[in-house]
Amino acid sequence: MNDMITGSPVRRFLIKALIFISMIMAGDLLTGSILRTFYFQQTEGSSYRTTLAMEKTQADLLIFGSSSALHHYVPKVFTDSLAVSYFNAGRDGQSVFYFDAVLRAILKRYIPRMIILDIHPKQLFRMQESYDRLSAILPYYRNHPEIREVITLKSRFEKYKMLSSIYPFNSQIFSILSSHRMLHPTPHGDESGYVPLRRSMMAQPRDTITFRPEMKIDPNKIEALDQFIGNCVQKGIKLYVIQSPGHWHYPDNISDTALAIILGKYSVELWDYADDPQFYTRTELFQDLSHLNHDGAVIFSSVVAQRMAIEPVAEYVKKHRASDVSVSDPGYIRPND
Amino acid sequence: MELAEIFKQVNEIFKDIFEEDDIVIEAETSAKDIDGWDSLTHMQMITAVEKHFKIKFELNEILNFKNAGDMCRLIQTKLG
Amino acid sequence: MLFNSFEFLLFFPAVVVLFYLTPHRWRWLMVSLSSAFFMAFARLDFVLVILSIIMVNYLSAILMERSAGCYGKKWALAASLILDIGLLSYFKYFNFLADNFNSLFDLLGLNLDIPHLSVVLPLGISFYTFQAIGYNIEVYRGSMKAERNLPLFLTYLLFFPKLIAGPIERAQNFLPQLHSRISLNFHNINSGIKLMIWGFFKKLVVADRIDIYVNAVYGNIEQHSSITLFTASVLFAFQIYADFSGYTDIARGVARVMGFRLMENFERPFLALSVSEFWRRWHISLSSWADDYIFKPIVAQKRYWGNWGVLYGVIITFFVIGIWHGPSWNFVLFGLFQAVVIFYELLTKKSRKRFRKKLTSPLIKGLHNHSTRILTFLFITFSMVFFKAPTFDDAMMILSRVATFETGTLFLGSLSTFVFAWSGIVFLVLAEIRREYGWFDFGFLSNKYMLVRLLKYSLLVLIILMIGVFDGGQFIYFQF
Repeated sequence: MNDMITGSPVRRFLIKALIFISMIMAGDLLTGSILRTFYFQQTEGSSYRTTLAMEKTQADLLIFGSSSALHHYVPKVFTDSLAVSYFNAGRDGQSVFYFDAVLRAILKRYIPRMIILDIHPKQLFRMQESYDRLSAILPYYRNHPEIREVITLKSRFEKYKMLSSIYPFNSQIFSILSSHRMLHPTPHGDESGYVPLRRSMMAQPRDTITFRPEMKIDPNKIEALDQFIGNCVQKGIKLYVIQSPGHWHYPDNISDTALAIILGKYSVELWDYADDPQFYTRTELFQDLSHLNHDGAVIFSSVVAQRMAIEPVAEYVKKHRASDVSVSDPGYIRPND
Repeated sequence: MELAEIFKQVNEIFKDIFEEDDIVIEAETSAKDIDGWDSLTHMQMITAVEKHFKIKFELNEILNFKNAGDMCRLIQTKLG
Repeated sequence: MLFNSFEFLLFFPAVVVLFYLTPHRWRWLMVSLSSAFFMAFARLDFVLVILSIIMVNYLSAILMERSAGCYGKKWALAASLILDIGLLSYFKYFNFLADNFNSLFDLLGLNLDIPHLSVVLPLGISFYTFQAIGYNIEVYRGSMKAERNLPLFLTYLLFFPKLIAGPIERAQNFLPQLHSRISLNFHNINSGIKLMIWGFFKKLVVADRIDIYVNAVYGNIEQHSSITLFTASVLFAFQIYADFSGYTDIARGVARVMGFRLMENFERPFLALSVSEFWRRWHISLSSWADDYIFKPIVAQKRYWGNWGVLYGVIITFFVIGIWHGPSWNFVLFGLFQAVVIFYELLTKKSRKRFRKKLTSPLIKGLHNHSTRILTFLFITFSMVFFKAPTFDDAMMILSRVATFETGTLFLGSLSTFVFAWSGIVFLVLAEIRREYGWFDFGFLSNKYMLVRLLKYSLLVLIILMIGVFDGGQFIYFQF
């Protein structure tokens, strides 16, 4: 091989560089395609549940939110008492950007009847990880043009990073393989999307969390939430916005104030169980300070389902398409520095 | 004093400090050639040399020693 | 701008092409401007700080050389040192000093209340002030000439590859390189890019992956078992090594592509047989700096104190090394631990050597070596707990919880993070052993065929793409 390349050092170098780059590109393409194939052959785990949410589910009732959505809404309670099909699209550690993207993908396929959006008290603060964790939906970038706008929030270079076929599956090889259908041929219980928590927390007094003053409301999140609610209203989906029980107390939360303004814009009521004593006084219903365990989730779900059954679903919607409140209304957004 | 004689006497001091009887120092000998030549033995060696020849080095001179030859030549100048 | 940012991926090739297109006499301007851009990417006013350091040190060195008398020379040195250290202290240590004075006077019943300053630490200030100080001391000692060429001196301190995280390059090594004419050399480009790839591997695949686990554990110390805290502490030692040496390798690689040689900063420190040896292999540009400009002068001056002079020198040196890392007592403690052990090692060196001579069987000798190696590593791990823990109390809590040896399960976080982290470490350690001892030097690793060597580095790039950590998207979701 060495003898073949003669001539000037410049030529030699250029050939070498060319070989090197083509090796990387070929390897990237090959590995990337294998990862992609295997990614969509998973039969359990959070990526699998995201695929179900974006590409498969046809359920009447969808649950959106982060961990408190994923672990607090028990499918059987809703299917039994409301006679609807159920899917939980919640994902640990995700933010309103993710909910927005998943809903966009779903609305390309069908219109669900009802949506529960579980909003954590910290949900609307600016946090870098909310952007970084959008990596969870990079595998869908190629086939879902509707979510690309959301992904650009992650970084303005994302479009160029996607030139690599491996990049969307970065860090996932281990979970892709361990959740592959070869290892889990039969359904694993992830089909409803719900993930129960099983342990109980030790009894402890309720903590009060005050937010550090440098925590700011994120205008991008306000916009994403506005988009999400606007989509629901526009498509005639009955939307329930819920704050689930937590063992932490957040007084004077500007995130809540911002939320209230958006909900007000669309006349959506907030069902607030965050400070509901029937939960926070009973530590045995929690797994940790911000998550109910399965027992707690069953009780909480029936409370929610009963209230949903009473609420007049039918007369809802159409009237709220108000656009008179500007999203960037400085009334609730603190200017960035 | 002859440089060779200085080398010989310094060599004896080295043997004593490093507890090695087969050390032979040359002009180019430096810390990396002798096992155990560290800051502690270096200063022990310098004070022993100062005492033996009844001279005193300046701070700058000590810091600029690169090898045994540097030191021996300086000893010769100081004695001379 | 950080090396592991997408911006750098665009910046770097552009700078290299510009560099080789620029004629020699204008390269200083090109390098300085791109360095200023690199720095101003964080904040523009950082550039003003470094420019004032550059001017002061440039002038003081020339002044020292011109003044014939001993006094003028001393004054010029003192002035530059006061300005360098003063500026560094103002930005880095003011609040720390204020806190300590406030609480000291509180103890005396006086209310001092020095207010806090809200200043941002200028990028790389700890690195370039130390380089400037070293340069001035060298000129003072007469071991190098003052640089008259201001553009070149400017380039020396601004040079962007070493701006953020070193190495703390010596003027006597770097200034001559700036004077010499650098021509396009493909060998440099080759080896530079290889160094960079290896550096990115260490930083993105090993260090940043471990970081996810360590943060999940150190963020909730109370909740974790003895074995988990111990594991996290060991991992942290590897993290800091992979992070820092990876960053240095990228810096050296970037410089090499442009034809410059920056000094080696790490030489497989975890293979050291003693703490003293560790510090000759760890952050060499800092430890040798401290050796040349703090330790040696103190010990030489206090040579009549005998061992006490050495103890005094070791303590001062490691106090400075410790607090150089950051304004906190934990860093001071980190340094003092090193000082104590190194002093002990100096005192017992001869007896330990005699002991080792008595070991005749190669098996026992090997065992002895390995156990001292592990002991050294464990000590470093222990001292680095003070590096990572935010407060003294946190560090003590970690140590005391480790020391209970209570049974408890090992927290894995997410299994993939744990597996990636350890595979990265194993790979790194094997590579280090190979470099140190030349073991498993066969076939694939150092092949005579160019194609195989290229394949090796392209595989490394693919691994980085596959399991490197590019942002905070990877996380351990923490539920108790």
